[in-house]
Amino acid sequence: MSIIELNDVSKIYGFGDATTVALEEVNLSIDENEFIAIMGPSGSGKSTLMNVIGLLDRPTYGKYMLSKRSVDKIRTNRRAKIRRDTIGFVFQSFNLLPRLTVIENVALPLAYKGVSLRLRTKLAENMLERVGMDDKKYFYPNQLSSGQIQCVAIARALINSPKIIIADEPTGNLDTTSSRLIMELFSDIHKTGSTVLLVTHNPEITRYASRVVYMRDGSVVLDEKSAIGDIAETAKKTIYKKRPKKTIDDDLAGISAIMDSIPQKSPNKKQTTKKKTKTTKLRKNKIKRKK
Amino acid sequence: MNIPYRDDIFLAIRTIRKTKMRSFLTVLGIIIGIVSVVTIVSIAKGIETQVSNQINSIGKNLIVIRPGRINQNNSNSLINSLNTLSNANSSSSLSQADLNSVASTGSIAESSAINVVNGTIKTNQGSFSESVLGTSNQFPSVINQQLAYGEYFNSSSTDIYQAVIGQNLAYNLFGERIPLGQSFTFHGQTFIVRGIFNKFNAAPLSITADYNNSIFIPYYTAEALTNSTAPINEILAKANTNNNIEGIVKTINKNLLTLHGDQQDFTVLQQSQSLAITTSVLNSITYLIAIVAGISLLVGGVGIMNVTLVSITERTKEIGIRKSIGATNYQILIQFLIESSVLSLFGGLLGVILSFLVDYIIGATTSLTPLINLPILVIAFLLSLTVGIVFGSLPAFKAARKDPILALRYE
Ligand SMILES: Nc1ncnc2c1ncn2[C@@H]1O[C@H](COP(=O)(O)OP(=O)(O)O)[C@@H](O)[C@H]1O
Ligand SMILES: [Mg+2]
Repeated sequence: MSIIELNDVSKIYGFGDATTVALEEVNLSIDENEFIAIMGPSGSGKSTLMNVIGLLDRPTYGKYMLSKRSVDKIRTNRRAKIRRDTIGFVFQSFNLLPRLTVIENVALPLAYKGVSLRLRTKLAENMLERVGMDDKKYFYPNQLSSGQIQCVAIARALINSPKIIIADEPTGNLDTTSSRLIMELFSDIHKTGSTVLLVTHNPEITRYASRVVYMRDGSVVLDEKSAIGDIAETAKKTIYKKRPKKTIDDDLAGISAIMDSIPQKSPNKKQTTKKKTKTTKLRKNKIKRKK
Repeated sequence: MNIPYRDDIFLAIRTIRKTKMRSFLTVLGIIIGIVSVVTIVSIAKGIETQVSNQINSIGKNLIVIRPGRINQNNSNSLINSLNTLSNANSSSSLSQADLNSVASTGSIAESSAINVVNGTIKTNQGSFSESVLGTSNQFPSVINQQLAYGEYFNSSSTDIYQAVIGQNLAYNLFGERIPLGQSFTFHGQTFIVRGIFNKFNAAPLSITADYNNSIFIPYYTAEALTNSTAPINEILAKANTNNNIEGIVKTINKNLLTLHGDQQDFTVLQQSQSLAITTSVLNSITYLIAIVAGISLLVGGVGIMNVTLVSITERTKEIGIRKSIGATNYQILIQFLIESSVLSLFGGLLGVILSFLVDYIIGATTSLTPLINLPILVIAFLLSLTVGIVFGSLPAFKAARKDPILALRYE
């Protein structure tokens, strides 16, 4: 049963000459309890896609159904509440509020929901225990390592038992050991029945995913199933093209390798023979103007 | 209270505690504004209390007749009338005939005119120009005041050059605490001090003369010294009842009008009116200073607005995170309103503490007795809260309307 359904979703930033097409007619259907890794070069629209799915942003065109309900016309306040109750976010950096302690950070979504201090402290303690951070509950974020910060951020994302977890490059700032720890947490979350969407540059991470979505220039260019435990096929190519070593340089090489190995986006060879929509017209106009 | 808002309060307090110096500088304007408001109002309150204490000790049944007309609806002319009243040289429209008329009014038990005699007093300590008042024997009883030492004039005594002095003069004029039997010269006569008054419950700004700094001599002596030209400063009369003072005042006024050929060139006052007069004079002063206080609160509010605006830019990312985990715009708005209000209330609190100190110093160095009571504290609280909310709303609206995407992308 699909929990997320995107139909021709486009997102255009800016006006006039300075427009950027961040998403172009994206069609995506995600079932409950999928673990989706999203890969693609920088600027390909991964974050924009996460923000649209996470109700932080509205698509310029297209339809978005969350749990079978259209969410396009929902007011900002109502969106905030849906976000609070059904979606958990983990970002690459600056996840925690610096003026709050670890436990206060984790309990914050419950506070916005109106849960009493006693109950939310107890729930937050349980959650911190689950991610192995209960001994740091009275620390402030600047007293933690970046791996520990991500653990706490995950605890906070989980506190409302959301159906969907959205993580935008959660391991982007972490070393291999911390990354593995964090990924084990996401894997656990996935096992408890949540739907996980995780943006990454690291092909290794596709081991945890049941499906990998590749993006380029605002479009989904490839969508492949992947057995959990194995690196996805396309992602694998990117690794073994170069030396099979695990260094930061390698990761960077991996990124460019991804660009080489994932299919090019070509407007002429669209998957379906749909009529040209506003987005493509807009893009054409832009090209004309440049000439 | 809704739960996240209570958290916001604690968080705001924690932030102030962590950034004491910055918070202090931010709320300096509020502190100054609150100190001026509280000090002014407490001084006014103190004076009012002193006046009403004075009235209670004198008795509500005291009726005062003064020369000149006092328009009680206009505080400006009131101040002018007060000035003329305190000026002992002013010629008086009151006469001996008026005193007789007042004394013979039914329900008036006792009365006394107060004549002002100008001149210089010489004691072995030097020359002084204190006010010398001629009164009748009934004066202490009319104004309900006991003597601390000695006695009021003994009319059976053949010696008419006797005097009773206000408490402050004992030391000022004679250099001793109980100068009974001491003498001074006035208009070429040698007077003997026969008594010393208890301290009068004198209130600043009140329209009665400062009796603590006056010398009292018998009215017949005053007449003898001046050939009956000493102007009557006021006539004091005491009713034999506390009821219907209003009616008695009207009767006296009617009788005097007849004597004055229908000219209202005098005023008959009862004690409750003298409180009203003090209050209205104080009010006009208070309004003036309220403007000054208002300006400093305005400056303080702008300071808070400025700091909150800067802090919202600094905390753009925080706002993005809060929104991403489900904070509604309204909850963000309230958070920042609470922060600016708590900051402003912190300024108000410091202002009140400082006001207690300022009032203590004023009380110790002047004759004023400033009084900080609950209503004043409530005013200070509400004022600071209002400033916090008013000047916090623009930044708070800005924060609430931040696009979460831009806020998250902000570096
Ligand atoms: N608020 C914005 N205003 C203008 N352009 C934006 C904005 N957000 C994203 N973009 C542009 O949209 C494109 C996709 O960005 P993003 O989704 O962040 O890519 P990714 O996460 O894959 O690196 C980029 O070209 C970026 O510059
Ligand atoms: Mg991104």
